[in-house]
Amino acid sequence: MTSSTASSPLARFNALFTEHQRPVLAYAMRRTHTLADAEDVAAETFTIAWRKIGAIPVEEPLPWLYAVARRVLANHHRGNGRRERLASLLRIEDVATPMRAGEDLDGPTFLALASLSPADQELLRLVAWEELGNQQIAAVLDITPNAVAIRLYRARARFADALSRESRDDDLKYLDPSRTSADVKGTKRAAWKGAAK
Amino acid sequence: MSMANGPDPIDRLGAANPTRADEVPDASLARVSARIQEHIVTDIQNTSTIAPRRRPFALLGGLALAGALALAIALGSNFGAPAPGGAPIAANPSPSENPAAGGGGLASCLVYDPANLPTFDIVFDGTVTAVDGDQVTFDVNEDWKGAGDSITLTAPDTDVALLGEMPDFAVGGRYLVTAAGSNINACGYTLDYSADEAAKWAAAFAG
Repeated sequence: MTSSTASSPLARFNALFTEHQRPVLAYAMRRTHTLADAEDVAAETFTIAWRKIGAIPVEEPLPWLYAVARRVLANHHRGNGRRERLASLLRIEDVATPMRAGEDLDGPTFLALASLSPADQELLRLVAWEELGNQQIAAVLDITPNAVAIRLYRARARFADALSRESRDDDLKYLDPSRTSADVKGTKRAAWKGAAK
Repeated sequence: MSMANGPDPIDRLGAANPTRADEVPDASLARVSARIQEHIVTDIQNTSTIAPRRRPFALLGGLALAGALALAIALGSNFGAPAPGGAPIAANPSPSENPAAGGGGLASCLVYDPANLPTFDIVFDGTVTAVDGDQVTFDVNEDWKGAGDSITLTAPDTDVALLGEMPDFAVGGRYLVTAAGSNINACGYTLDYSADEAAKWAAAFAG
């Protein structure tokens, strides 16, 4: 009388959350500057998932969740200015999104990524960090797999060029120790954590 | 535009992944889970189509329960750490810690403590005389609060994953029962009768 069945919405949601909570939170952490923001995005994504549980593809729900998270992030970035002003007034100190040890935010890889358009950045992040295939990316971005393949080919080439350029600049940094690679490019810290376009 | 020689730049970007899924903080997952639970509990309570049978404020009582659950989460009382490997988060005591409480998954119960019993609308020791769908009728053996001599309550189709276990009521069975309005509470606050537990419930209303 009181226990759920495997097909009940709540049981299905529980299974969905259990399986995908980590990738969704990681997705949000890679694209937000603070841990609280990432948690907001993940919580809102799963709340939407709960309310639309019947619309989630059974076979491959993760791209659907990423697509929702992407829209939540876009709203979140739009509201960021207001939130930051409020946090400043309330003197809220937020915790920065943790990074894996050893990663250099001013390193050539991140600078090269930051130099690309938001659309290219997101495409490359979905491939390299979410490890999605073209079909899955198409579901996230709501475009055709063919369009993904074409855009990815171009984005990959632009990234390769940028990486080559940033690596040369990184070498210059060592020739002139007073300059950081951020000085060389004038790139702001973690600029690659832009809005998911 | 030219492709760089050497390793695929995508591989290099992948190696620079700033946050791997298996490295996200467990505390963050717990906070995310708690936020979702609040929404789900509220949604379930708000969309309940069960008509109040005994009092017009039954739904309000249900909402109060939802609030209490949310508060229990917010206060972090007995908030368990996520199980290894990203398993669901249980905020209620494990059965080994609390034989009265069940649940798992997203369960988020007020910590079981007989001292909380007086906060419920209805608390009694009763024997089931009839079960009709989700309607359960009890003869009340001991009325600690709000039950009268006989009472019919709804056993909501709660999900063990969300609100913990509830006994499977059977005619002739004896239970310790709490209810919010006309809805029987889960989360270990309704359980099979035992003399020891009944004594604790009685003590909660003593004096």
